[in-house]
Amino acid sequence: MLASLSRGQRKALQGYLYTSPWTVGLVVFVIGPMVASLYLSFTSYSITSQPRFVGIQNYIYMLTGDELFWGSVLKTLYFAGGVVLVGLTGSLACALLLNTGLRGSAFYRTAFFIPSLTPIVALALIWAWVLQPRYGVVNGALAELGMAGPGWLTDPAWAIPGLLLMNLWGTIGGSRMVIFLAGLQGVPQELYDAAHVDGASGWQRFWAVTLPMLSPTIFFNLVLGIIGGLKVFAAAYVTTDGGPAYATWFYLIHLFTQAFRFLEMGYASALAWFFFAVVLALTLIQFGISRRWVYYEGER
Amino acid sequence: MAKVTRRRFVVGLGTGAASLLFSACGAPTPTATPVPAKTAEPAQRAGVSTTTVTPTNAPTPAVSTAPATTKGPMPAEPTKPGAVAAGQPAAAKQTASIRFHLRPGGLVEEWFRKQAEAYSKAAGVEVKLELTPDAEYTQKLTTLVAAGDLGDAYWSGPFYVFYPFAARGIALDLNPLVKAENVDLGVFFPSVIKALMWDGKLCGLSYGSHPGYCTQFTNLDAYKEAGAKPPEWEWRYDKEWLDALKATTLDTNRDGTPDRYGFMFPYISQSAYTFIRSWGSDWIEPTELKTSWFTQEKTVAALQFMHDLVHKHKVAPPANGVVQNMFANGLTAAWQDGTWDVANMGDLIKDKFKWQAFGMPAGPEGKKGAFIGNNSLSVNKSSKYPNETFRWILWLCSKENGLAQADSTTPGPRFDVWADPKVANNPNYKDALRWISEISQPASFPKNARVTEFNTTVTQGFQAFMLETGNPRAKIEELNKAVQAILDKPLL
Repeated sequence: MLASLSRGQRKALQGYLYTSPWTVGLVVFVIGPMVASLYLSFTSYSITSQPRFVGIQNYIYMLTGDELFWGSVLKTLYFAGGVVLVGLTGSLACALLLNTGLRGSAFYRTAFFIPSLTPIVALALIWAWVLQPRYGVVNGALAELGMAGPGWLTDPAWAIPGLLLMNLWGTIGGSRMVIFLAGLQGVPQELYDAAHVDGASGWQRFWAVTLPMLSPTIFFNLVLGIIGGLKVFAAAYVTTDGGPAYATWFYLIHLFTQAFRFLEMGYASALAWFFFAVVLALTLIQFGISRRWVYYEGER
Repeated sequence: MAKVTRRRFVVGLGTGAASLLFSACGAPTPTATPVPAKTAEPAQRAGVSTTTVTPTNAPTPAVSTAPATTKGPMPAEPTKPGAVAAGQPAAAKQTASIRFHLRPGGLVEEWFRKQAEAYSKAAGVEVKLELTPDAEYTQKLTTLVAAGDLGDAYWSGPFYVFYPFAARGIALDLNPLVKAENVDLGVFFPSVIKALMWDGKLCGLSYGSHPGYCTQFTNLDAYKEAGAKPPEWEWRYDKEWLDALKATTLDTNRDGTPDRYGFMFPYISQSAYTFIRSWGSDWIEPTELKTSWFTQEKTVAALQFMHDLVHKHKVAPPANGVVQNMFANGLTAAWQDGTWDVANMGDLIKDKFKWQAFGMPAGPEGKKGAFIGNNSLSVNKSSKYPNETFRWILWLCSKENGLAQADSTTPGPRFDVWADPKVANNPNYKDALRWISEISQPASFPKNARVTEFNTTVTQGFQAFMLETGNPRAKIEELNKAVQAILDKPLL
């Protein structure tokens, strides 16, 4: 049979065969389950029984009947906002400091990067101790300053800030900082030299040279930061399990709980697709807005 | 031959994948397979004695439900090598292989491994342990059910898959096997057996059960120092007990935050349940199991009492002031917990202070109440080896194994285990025996088997109520509404 194929056909077939492990994997293990979950989102399905088609009932319940849904959306936005604002600023600040060429910067880069390598579960467990209200390091330090530390992770008002602190420690010096560093090192030195000759101050050089030249990097980190922030799950799952009193009941905690604890797979699939749609929409909006503030050197 | 275009290739792949997917989706939900009345194997081969056994030492005179003599066999043979050999073929040939799901961890896992080896040697049935971490246990087992690949037996508890699997007919009704093997369930505490029933079917047996959050671990030194008597059985929450809590709460610098609280309870549904039942109420209407009772007068009173302990009397830490190991670190003079921690408490406290476990007090009307928590072992209805699996479960539920449990967690739920000097002479189990044999009853759980959803909702709602200082009653109303919404849902 192969003999009847032309040389081009044989080459094409060969190519497809070489790529087929990945292609088959993608179709069977990624696209297949996605399509299945889309179907399940229109069913009532608890795993132990057969799926029953319910139309858009799950989506209607999500938006109008689920008392925890909107709360979880708001908490997730609060967390993602904090992660993006403080995280991006902090990572950029770290990168700027490490880009000054100070002695031992290789050591500092490593030191800043190491926390991001800590597995999230280990990080969460360690921080649960660091933030412990009575014996934790943070409240101990606050007590030295004459301040009574809050019940991090146990007080509903402080649980999300506590998780933010935990998350930022692990991410400020991580890959985001490395990407910023790479971006900073790609800014042509002659632009700084020209600005210097023109009498620009350090702040003016940062504002007029560094930031515009870094805008594609900032955009990249912003997109990933927002997606990462919205996906908050593991730290909350390990330390607070959505509590106290639903204070850290983030969207993915809600989704996970519906799926794997309450076994509401149909509804959880609807939640997953809603999440996907929101993340996609936010990303597209960011791409749309980016034309106004992201400067790509090669384009102009 | 047609040209292989990119489009055709992708279409072909997609069709193949879709076929795979549909065939996977089409896998039937496990259905019941008829259980053979009895296999050809003699009962002895699997360690089930057929001799009549009279339990030694009736547990306590107070246990009116205890059979004076129990007819029929003990559920399983002991684990001692010599005893195992008794009545067994010298070298049992392996005829079956059982897959058994459980959670990993410490002494209990090690104990199961030893039991599996011993049972394998004695009964000629291989037992393969399949361990799944606690956090993933429910999802793993549920996924296995969906894939039609659940093992022959599985560990569970009331807040895991026990009820959903019982309601969905995944768990085998053990009653016919109990009858066929002539097993006397009278050796177990009746409330424990009741908690293993679903719609008249016996959906498991328990190798370790506790009577709920009915134990107060007490710092005897703190009580002595405060001039308070150690807790007594007849104490009432709102009288002697509250007085003791006030006496043992210490605020040396009078800043409003005690250095040591008189009492601490976990901020979870189960601890609140002890108060609710002791007030003579329940969280769900206990007969139909379809109506939330969180706004019932007595339920509200019980919850309000807990609220007052924190906010009015200030003898218990608020939810946002709880730290780990408060009791062991001397930050609270007493701690509401359960019998499962008796075995480990000594290691935790060491010689920091003298301690003892007592039962929780009685409600305003003199009533006590909590729930039975079982470490249940169930047989998959689709198991190819129901008889062998049942005997494995019986083996684990023996007296000797029940006693062995007392080394690391709660003792086995049998009269003879609690009557054994090892348990009976331990003062920390004295009150617990009365709780497990007389007082604690199966929890009222949703008729639709949505136990995990119910438990999560009650725990979160309870925390919200306990944190609320403005209008706590509103939080109870919210909780009641949320619970009712769960009860109104169809069967899980």
